[in-house]
Amino acid sequence: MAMKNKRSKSSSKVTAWFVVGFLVLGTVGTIVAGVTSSGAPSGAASPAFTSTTTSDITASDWSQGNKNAKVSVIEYGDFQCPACGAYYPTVKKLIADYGDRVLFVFRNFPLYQVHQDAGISAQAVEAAGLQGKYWEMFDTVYEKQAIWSGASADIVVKQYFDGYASSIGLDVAKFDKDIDSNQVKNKITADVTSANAAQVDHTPTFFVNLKQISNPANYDEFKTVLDAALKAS
Amino acid sequence: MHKVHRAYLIIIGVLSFLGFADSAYLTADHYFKLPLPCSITQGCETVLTSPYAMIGFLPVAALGVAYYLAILFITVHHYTSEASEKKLAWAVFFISGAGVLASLYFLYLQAFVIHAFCQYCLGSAATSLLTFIVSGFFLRSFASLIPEDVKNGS
Repeated sequence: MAMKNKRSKSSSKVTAWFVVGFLVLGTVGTIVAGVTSSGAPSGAASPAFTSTTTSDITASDWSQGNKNAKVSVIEYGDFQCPACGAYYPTVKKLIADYGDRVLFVFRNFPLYQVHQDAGISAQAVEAAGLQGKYWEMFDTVYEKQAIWSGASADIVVKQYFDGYASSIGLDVAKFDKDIDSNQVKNKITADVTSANAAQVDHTPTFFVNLKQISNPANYDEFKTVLDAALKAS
Repeated sequence: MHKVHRAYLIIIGVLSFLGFADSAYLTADHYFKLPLPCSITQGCETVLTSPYAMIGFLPVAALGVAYYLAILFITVHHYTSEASEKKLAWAVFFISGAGVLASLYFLYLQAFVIHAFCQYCLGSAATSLLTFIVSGFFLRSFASLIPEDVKNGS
């Protein structure tokens, strides 16, 4: 009797562990299956373009590539947005790979209410632009996003951006003055106005030939969209 | 084992399982999903893609998985053992106490540094707080139900 009791106890012990293990593994399996299937590319059949369009590219826009290219890419971005930082290498590779077949434009859409340094980082990159080094600063600020992002807005210039400015060969005193200049602030305001007009509500938002695309999941998806645009032009 | 103790262990087990499922979801989201765009209508992605979502190379969510699994395993072990063991109850009390402190820190980050709340992170804060409270009552029940445990100390 006692032995039987002991045996049934140990078997209920095994059952309890088995049930919990099953629940744990089942949960892991369900979650992984759910997350990977929802995160998978939605397929080439889904329309890349949405119905939103943005304003024409003008001389005041910062651009890379060929101004006469048949295909343009406009990115609305926020230098402190981690997703923009994650897209940065993809965009850089596209610019390099497409060379003069594509014109790439960056416009500011700082998410002031979410990222404390969104405004000041945009101002820093614009200020570098006034000394002809917009893209050098653009690269540096994105590449070092994880480093300066934690700093509060009142110290981030002194602590980080001044050093970046000096490392790319800027006149730091002029850079510091330009950061707070109306010229820089007006450019950002103009970008934000155009973003609002184009109903941009997240960063990065990409426009190919002025039409908004849904964010590509990876380099290849982006390439598919650009190749199609090039073919159609 | 006293049936009141069984009830406590089941409650703690269910809570830690919920916490485990919650942080497992966040961990899977971290590793398998592309960073979603930052949005004006902030929220989870802002929190989860902030620099504070990582401790070294580990996402905080993965630490959450380990934390809840530890409590769950201790609890199942306790439940399947013949007698109530006060030291196991203390272990859960201390681990969940540490979890509550960590949750408070993450709540502070969400409210004052990141300025965005992630509902799954709030859920985890709630489960660890509840686990802590229930394990406190569980410990207290040792005094009323099994006086010899108190006499022996443990």
